Parts: sequence; structure tokens; C-alpha cells
Amino acid sequence: MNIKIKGEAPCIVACPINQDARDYVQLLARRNFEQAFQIVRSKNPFPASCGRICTRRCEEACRRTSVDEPVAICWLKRFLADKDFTPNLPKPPKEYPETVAIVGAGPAGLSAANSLILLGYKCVIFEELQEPGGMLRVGVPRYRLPRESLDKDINNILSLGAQLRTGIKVGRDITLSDLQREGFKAVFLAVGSHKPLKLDIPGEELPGVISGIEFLRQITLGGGVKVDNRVAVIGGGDTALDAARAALRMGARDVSLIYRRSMEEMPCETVGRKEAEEEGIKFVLLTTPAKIFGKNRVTGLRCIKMTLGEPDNSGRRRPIPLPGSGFTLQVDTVIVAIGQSPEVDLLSKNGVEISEKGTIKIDNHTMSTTIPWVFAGGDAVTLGGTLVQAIAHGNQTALSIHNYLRGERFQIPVRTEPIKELSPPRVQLIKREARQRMPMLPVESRIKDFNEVELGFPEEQAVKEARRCLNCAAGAVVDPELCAACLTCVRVCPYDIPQIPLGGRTAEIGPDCQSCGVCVVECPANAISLKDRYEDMGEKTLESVMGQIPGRGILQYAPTIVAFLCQYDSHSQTVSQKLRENGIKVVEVSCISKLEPRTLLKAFEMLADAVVIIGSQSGDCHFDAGHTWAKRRFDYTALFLETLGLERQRLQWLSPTPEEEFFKSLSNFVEEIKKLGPVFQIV
Amino acid sequence: MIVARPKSFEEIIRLIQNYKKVAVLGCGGCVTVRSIGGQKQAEELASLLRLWAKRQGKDVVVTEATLTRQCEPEFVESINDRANDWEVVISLACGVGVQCLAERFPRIKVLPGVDTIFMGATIEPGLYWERCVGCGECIVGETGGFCPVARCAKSLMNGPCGGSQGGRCEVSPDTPCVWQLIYERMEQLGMGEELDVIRPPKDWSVRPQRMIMEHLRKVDSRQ
Amino acid sequence: MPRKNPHSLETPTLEAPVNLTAGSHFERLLKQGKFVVTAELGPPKGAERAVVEKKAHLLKGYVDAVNITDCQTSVVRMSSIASAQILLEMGIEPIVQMTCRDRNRIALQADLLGAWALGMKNVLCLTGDHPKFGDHPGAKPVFDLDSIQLLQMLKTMREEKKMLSGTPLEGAPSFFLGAAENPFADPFPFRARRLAKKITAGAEFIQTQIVYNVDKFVQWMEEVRQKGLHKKAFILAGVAPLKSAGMAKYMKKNVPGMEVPDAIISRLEKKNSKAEGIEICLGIVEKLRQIEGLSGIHIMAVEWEEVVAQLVEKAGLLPRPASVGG
Repeated sequence: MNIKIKGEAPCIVACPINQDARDYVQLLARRNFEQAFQIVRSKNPFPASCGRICTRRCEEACRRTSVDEPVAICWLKRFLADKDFTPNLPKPPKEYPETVAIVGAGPAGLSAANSLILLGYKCVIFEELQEPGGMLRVGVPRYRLPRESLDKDINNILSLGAQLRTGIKVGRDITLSDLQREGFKAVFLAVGSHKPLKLDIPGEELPGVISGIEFLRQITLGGGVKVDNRVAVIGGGDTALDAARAALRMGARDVSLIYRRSMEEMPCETVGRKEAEEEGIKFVLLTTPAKIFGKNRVTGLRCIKMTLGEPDNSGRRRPIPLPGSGFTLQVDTVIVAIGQSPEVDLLSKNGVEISEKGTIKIDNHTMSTTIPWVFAGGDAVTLGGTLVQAIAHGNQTALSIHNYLRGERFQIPVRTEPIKELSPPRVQLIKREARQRMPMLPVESRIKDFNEVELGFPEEQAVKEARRCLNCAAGAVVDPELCAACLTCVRVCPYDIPQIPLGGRTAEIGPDCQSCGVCVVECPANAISLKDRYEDMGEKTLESVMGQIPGRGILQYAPTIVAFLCQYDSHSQTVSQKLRENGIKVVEVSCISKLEPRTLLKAFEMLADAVVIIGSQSGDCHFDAGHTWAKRRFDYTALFLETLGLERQRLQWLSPTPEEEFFKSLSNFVEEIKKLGPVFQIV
Repeated sequence: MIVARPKSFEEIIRLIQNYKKVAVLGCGGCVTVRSIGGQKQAEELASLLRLWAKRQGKDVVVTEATLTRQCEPEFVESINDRANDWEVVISLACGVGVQCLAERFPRIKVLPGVDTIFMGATIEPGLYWERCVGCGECIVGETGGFCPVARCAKSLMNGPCGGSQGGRCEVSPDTPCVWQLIYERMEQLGMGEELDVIRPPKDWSVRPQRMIMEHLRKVDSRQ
Repeated sequence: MPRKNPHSLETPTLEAPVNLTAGSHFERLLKQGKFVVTAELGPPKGAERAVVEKKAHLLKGYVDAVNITDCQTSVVRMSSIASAQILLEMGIEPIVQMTCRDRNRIALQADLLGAWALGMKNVLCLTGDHPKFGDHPGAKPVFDLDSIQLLQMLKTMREEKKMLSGTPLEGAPSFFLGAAENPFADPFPFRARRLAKKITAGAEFIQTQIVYNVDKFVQWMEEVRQKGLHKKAFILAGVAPLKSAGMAKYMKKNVPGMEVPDAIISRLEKKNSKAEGIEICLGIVEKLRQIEGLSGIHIMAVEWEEVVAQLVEKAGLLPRPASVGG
């Protein structure tokens, strides 16, 4: 079929690395965890880290938001990453002779190394610190990103074959020219942004004043940092928040976060902010520091209240000091976390051009600096970038370096448009299903140490959450060649999606399609299929489970029973286990509304002695109407079997709840089928 | 569109029980649109026949195929190669399609898998209703757009009969009295007086009818 | 209150000479202005001549002519023409009922040519019930013509001495033609107009569906008079005694185009007997006789022919007149 679908799922479009969120979430929903993980890893070398601290542009774009809440895509990624699958990455199609030098073993540098190796290049990574990870290691506290998770990601990258040289600072220990002389054909500068910005207020040099980034680094690297009782953290970003929460864990009793705008404008993550509030961080908003007091050490902080004026260049409302609003906070420690800038002086001396903002100047598409063989990315060009942005830079630079080395023109990737938001009438037709809550350490225990706060989804919760995905832009498509213009799809769709365009003959199935499969089954011309590559409507699964039938002994008869099981049911795991224990072949489908009568008949053709459909109770279903359609097809097929003279019991419909009743009905059913004997008397 | 209904399975197996090579042929025309004889229904019937044969211990090869339209010689031709392998063909097309197959393949036993019932419209999803009998002399222009030949149980030309009650037909209370509809529409159109004129007996012409469109016929280029 | 009867039985209008179509006794009485009484006879579901004779005996002398049904409600019975022949032999005047259900235009013409030859002079032209209601529901319904076309065909045969095809007839039948009409069917405003069509087509007498709802009948007759139809055709109101409340309810529910008012049903529920049914019927006849433009009554006592004599007697409609000048 050659059908174009206009637009892509917004979660995929919104992601800087175009991570196929929908696809891995859909696979997760079908419990195909390994394949889901490989999809994640194919574009993202930091699944465990990203699954924890990503800024989740995908969730902001999630169309489920207009129904209830976005799908917890990030946490689902984490669930997959925590399963510890071995990445299965494609071998490079060709080995190239060139070696690339990467400066900085942070996420941008490591991502570039990952991509370059997969493209067929050798890489050497130069890192100033003793351990790789960059800001992920030294700037993100362990309670958000445990070392083990970070190490897992990094080890997976390094095991591909990148060489890591630590303790070397390029520009200081070795110059760019040295690198060229050593034979590196290209250099990627991913030095990050580690130089803290200053407040420029009196008293900033006093002991007890420390930058947020330094504070966090010392905690990680063991620099002997201490905090006293009362801590003021200045800033509203993630570093400020992390410093505040870390300070609490270091023993501070009273931590205030001072931010000059209101909560609304805070750039930090909402989830983290809520967690910080729970932990007891005080948010002193619309406040700016004016002076730090103290003789040998900090004793107080003079602040001024602010009000918000007209929006500035960043679109946020500009804070204006309120005259006569000054007040003093009694503090022992002041942590300044108002941003960082890259250390570029040395690089500048090496001939790299620096922008007015103090970042490395690059071409936004090729990531090339003013020196053709030198590329740059990550925080060194974006300042306070995000992890996923750094990965994107790494991936993109790797491609660009490949093009440069091969003398090819860099192809600017074509941006796919996201599909539109759900239309309000559709929103009404889609079932509300609450977002799963992340299990967390209780507040009392988590502020005592740096143990991870978010505990991760257990399997059932992850699967349930994944099933909330609306499978955007992967719904049904009509093949106009096969379409008989019968209008069946238009008439059966529970969501009123298919429309005949004015003057047209073939229905257009718009992006609001929910992938329930009702039209696919009902289409008499076989013209509709689901764009979703992972949906087999039970057909292929049936073939694979039936392929495992052992040869039937003549003396011992055990019936072959096939169960078609609704994956959307929360009980499906227990149920499918119980079925397998009973020797029943299980075919899981994402909603029994996807079962075609011909598939049920096929089961019998493949020597099933009985077929049982296990669907959730009407009302429990992800697709409410799916239940009704499935039941109709069940009845339709039952009539067929009746005409064959097959016993009615051989096609059953069981509800998985209440569980006890289900187990009882199931064993009765199995007993009955045993008594009936085989469908075919095969000699 | 032509509306048909599936024949009973008993009837089908009675007709094919002595054959070993059976084909079920769907039609991509009207019967597909009505979900009666399209590809899926052909697959279902074929599946059912295989199950039946297996249960009977019979060695029967059942294949299925769906033609774009069984009432066109060019489309029927498309199965020419495979047809040699078949002894019997069950056509899920209307009575027209099944006869086209029978004419094209004189050596094969061609059976109808459906009963063709009428030409009708979709009134609502899953509800189809007869609207035309192809009588060859359309008078709906004079009867308010409703056909009394197809829609009056007695095909009255000067209705309604005495059984019209509350707008319903005496033969089936589910059926509207078409003469009531005609009366209302004609009054609405200001043409009510036309109903006072006696309509003469209808000309039930010779059947089968044949129609020739001279301008569409083949041109012999040798002439 | 003195009763004003437009059709005084005692004083037949003998003065005016009448133009007769067929010259039957039934036609003559109507044209002489007599209040005419007819009744219905259903032939047997078999070939037993005696059944026809027995039923005919019950009616003889109590009615002016007897309608012979044509496989009523689509149930196979002895043919109406054959049964009519038995009546003729017994000296009773038949009205042959002829439906379009079972015969195409060829058979209709052939059978009626034969009927005329046998001396049958009155024909009631009907479309006929659908076979679905009868004992052979799978029979192919013919309906080549409808009742109006049948009337027109027979009128043309009479006046132009031609068949429907235009072929000249060797002896043309000159039937006194009648049609049925159901004043209670829908659409009500069209009923009188349709009656006009039947009269234009050739109907000279009209026998109506059984009247239980007299008010509605009166209303319909008003329309008939407004159109002057009562001067173009003789209208006989159908009547039938109810045997029980159950029968009344059954007819109301199951007989298409039959209106049985609740008042009648409740009267029968209070006093459920055949006698009460007869009383009700007499009351209806009484009311009907006061309606201007009504020429008689037609008693449809299906399978209860013995009641006819009783009814006619109690209604004061005896003795039946002999036609004069015939």
C-alpha cells in the first residue's frame, strides 16, 4: 500500500531527537518490552538518564492532554531502560579510516561518539574530569539520577568502541592544532557550560557563598562541601532547585529558594518543583538579592521585592523592583544558581570564534564552527540546554561530520508537521483514563539521603499507562484502490472519524482515529488497515502460537484451545498466565474489537478444538464500543460454527472478572472441551 | 445497488458435496458494498468449507478470489488461468454475476452462494429497502418521486387500496404505504389533481430485456 | 321524532322510466330508488355444491342480490362465477365479485365474457387482498390491472364493444358494474376522490367496508354528496353483526382498514352475546338509513349467513320488494 499520512504524532515531532515515543509506548502497551527498548535506544543513547530527567517536550505536546492528562512517556522510557536489555544496534555498514576527536564526555559528546561509531568512524573522547558524564554526573544530584543509571547509559556507549581519555583539558593540555597533527580529521567541541554566572552584588566573595554548580559538583566528587542551618538558593532553574534539594539532604534545616519572578515563569521542571515543595523548600518569589552580609562568613541576605512589568525579549514579564520593599533574611549559606557559561577563553586562543553571548559560534544546521573541521554542540552553544537537546546536537553533529568527511552536502532534515489537536467533539467520545502516579519515597525518608526519589513504574502500572496512548497518526488508512465506496467505515466508526470529502468517493480517516480497528474488521473490501506497524489484529500471533502445536498422540488427547485475550484489561497478565498454565494458546490483541471472524475461523482451520474470547466487561474497555462490535462478530462466527454442526461450546466468551468466577468458568470450559473430543477425527 | 442475502450453508454443501476442487468467488461490486459477497465473505465461506470438508474427512481444495465485478467480461477473464483447477465455483455475486461466470466457463459447475433479492437503497446502516424492480417504464415523475410498482405490495397504478391505514401498508406494518407518500408529495408539489386522472394499465413488456447502445459498440477496424 | 327516510320502501318510485345497463333485478331496484339490501356468500373450500345451496337458501327472500366472494382473503374457494351459476339456477340474483389478484387482463376478460354468457349481470370489481394473507402466501400476486382499470376495461367492453386490446367483441357484455370503497382507510381526504375515480371508470354501485364508526361514515358521505357522487352511483353501506367482544377486538386490531369504536367493544364486554352484537348492528343500520344519499345496505355476515334473515326482519326491511318492469 502506498498511502501518505499527513502529519506525525506530536510527541515525535516535539522531541529534539524525534524519538518514536508513540511506537515504543504502543509496544510497551503490548508488553513487547525488548522491541520497545530497542526503538528507544536506536535514537537515544541515554535512555536511563533521559527516562528520569528529560524535560518531556513530548508530554507537553501529547494530544491526550485535551482528554485528561498526557501519557507519562518519560517514565515509560525509564521503565524500559531499567529492564537492562542489551542494546541491539546495527553494525556500521562500512568502516571509514578517519578518527574523530570529541572534546567533553558529557551527553553531547557521548551521543556524537555513539552516532559516529554506528556510522563507521573511530572516536577518541577527551575529558577534563576523571569520570565521563559531564553535567549529568556533576550537575544532577543522585536522588534524581542515580549513578548506576548514568553509568549504564555511558557504559553502553563506550562499549561500542569509543576511546575515553580523562584528565585532559583541550586548549590547556593539548591544542586543536595538536589534535590535527595527531591525525584527527574532525573535532567536536562539547565542552559544556560549567562556569557559574555571578550576581555582581556586594558580599559575593564571602565564605559561605557558593555557586550552585560548584556545590553540586563537590557533593558528587566529594569536595568536602558543608551547609549550615539556613540556606538561601538564588535562581529558578533546575540547578537552583537541585542545589536547594541537595542542601536539604546535606542537613540544612531551612532552605529558601529566591526567585525574581513568580512561580509561573520558573524555568525548572514542574514535577521537581512539586517534589521540592513537598520536601519543605520555601519559595521566596518576586524577590531579588541586593547584598550579602557578614564579616568572616555569611550572616544575612538583603532582598528587594519585585513586581512584574511588560514582557521582555524572552516573553516572560520583566521584574521591576518595588521601592522601599527591602528586607533581610538570616542565612548562613548562599548558593548562587543563576546560570552558567562555557569556558571558552582557551578555545578562543586556539582560533575558535566566540559569540557575543560567550558561546561557541556555529552554523545551526551543520554544527560547524568557523574552522571547517571543528564542530561544536551541547551546552557550549546553547548555554542552559537540556539533556535531550545535547543528545540531538550529538546525533546531528555526527551526521554532519560524516558528510564533511565524505565530502557530501549536509541535508537539512525535513520537518514533519504534527497532526492537529483533537477536535472537541472527539474529546467527548474518548474515554477518560487517569494518568498513573509515580511511586515515590516518602518525604520524611527521602530528605535524609540521596536515594532516588522516584521509584519507577512496576510492570502493570507501566503497561496500563502505555495503554492510554492514543496512537496518534498511526490509525486506520484506506487504500483507495481497494475501496468499494461502501461507506461502512463511515457508518461503524465509534468516533465518527471517516469522512467522505466533498465530491470524493473514498473516506478520509483523519488523525483523530483511535486505532480501535472496528472499520478494519468491518470493511468488506479489505481496504482498510492500521498504519501501526506493530498491530497484527491477532493474525500473525495466531500463526505463531499455532505453529507450536505438538504432534497429537492417538492415545492421549489434549484439546487445542486458543484464547483471544484483550490486552487492555488490567487483569490480562494474571489471566494469560492462568491460560498458559492450562495449556491454552494465547493470542493477545489490543482490544478484541480487532478480531475478524475469519481469524476466529482460521484458528479452527489450524486445528483448534475450541476458541475462547476473553474480553473485559463492557464499560471496562479502553474502546467502549469495541466490546459491542466484538460481541457481534462473536455471534456472527458462532452462527457459522453452528452451520458446520460444531458444538456451540467450542466458541466461548468469558469475562476475566471477577477472577474467581473466571477461573471456575475456565476450568469448566476446558473440561467440557475435553469431553467433546477433537473437532477433526484425524487418523 | 443490488441487494442479496447469503444462501444457507446446508444448501451450499448439498450442491458441492461431490466435488474436490472448489472456488469461492467474491465480487467487488454491489455485494461488497453490502458486506455479503466481498473478499472477506469469500474468505469466511472458504474457511467454513475447508472446516466442513476436514470434518467430513473429505479431501477438498477450497480456494478463494474476488473479482472486481463479475458482471464484466474483462474482469471475469482475470481468473481464466486458475479456472482450470476448479470443478465447481460458488459465486457470491448477484444473479447477474453468477450467470456471467457460468457463460464464460461452460465446463465448470457454477453455483450461486447468495440469493439476489432486490435493487434497493441504504435507509440506515444495515437496513436496505427495495426501490426499483426495473420494470422498464419509469413513472416516478408522475408519482411524486415514489415508485408504486416497486413499493406498493400490489403495484397499484391507482392507489391507495383500502388497506392503507395510518400511512402503513396492510401487507407489512413496517412498510410505509407508498400511495400515502405519493398523495402527500403530490399535494405538497401542488400536483394533487394529477392523481384524479385514471392511469391506464401498465405495459409489462417482453422479458428478458436487451439494451443496445450503438455508439458504444465495437468498431471493426478492417471495414 | 318522525323518521325521514329518503328511500321509503313502502312507496317505490314507479313513475320515472329508468335506463338500465344490465337489466338486473338489483340494478332495477336501485334505479327505482328502493333501499336495497344485499348480502355476502362465501363459496366453500371445496367442490361441494350443496354448501352453496344451503347458504343461498338462508338468504333467499331476505336480500335483493347476493355477492359471491372471489377467494376472499386470498383463501382458495370455489370460483365466484361457478358459485354464481348455482345461485342463478336457484333463482337468486348474484353479484359476481372479481379481483385482479389471480388473473391477468386476458383471464379477467375471458372469465367475465363467460359470466355474461351464463346470465350474470352484476360484477363487483375489486383489486383483491394480497396473497400474503391467504392460505397460499407464496402465490405470485398478479395485479396486472387494479380495480379502477378493471372497471374501465369492462365499461369499454360494454360501450365500445371492444376488448382492452381494441379487438372487436363477438357480443359485448353489458354488466352493471360496482366497486368497493373503504371510507375508513387513509389518506382520508383522498378516499372520496378515489371513489370519484372509480365512478368515472364505470362503477354504478358502491359497496363499502363494514361500518362500525358511523360518525366517520357520515363525514365521508358528506364529502360524497358534496362531490355529487351519490347521484352518479348507488352507495350501499357495509354492515356486519359482531359475534363477541373478542371478535370486535380482533377485527379492530387485525383487519386492515377496519375501525371498531371502543364504545362498541365496551358494550360487548358488558354483555357478551351474539344477541347484543345483532342489537348493535341494528342500531347502526337505523342510523345509516337516515343518511342522505345512501341507497342500501350490504350485509357481510361471514360464515354466519343465518343471521341475515333475522337482521333484515328486525330492521323492518321485510318484505323485500319485487322489481317492477323487469
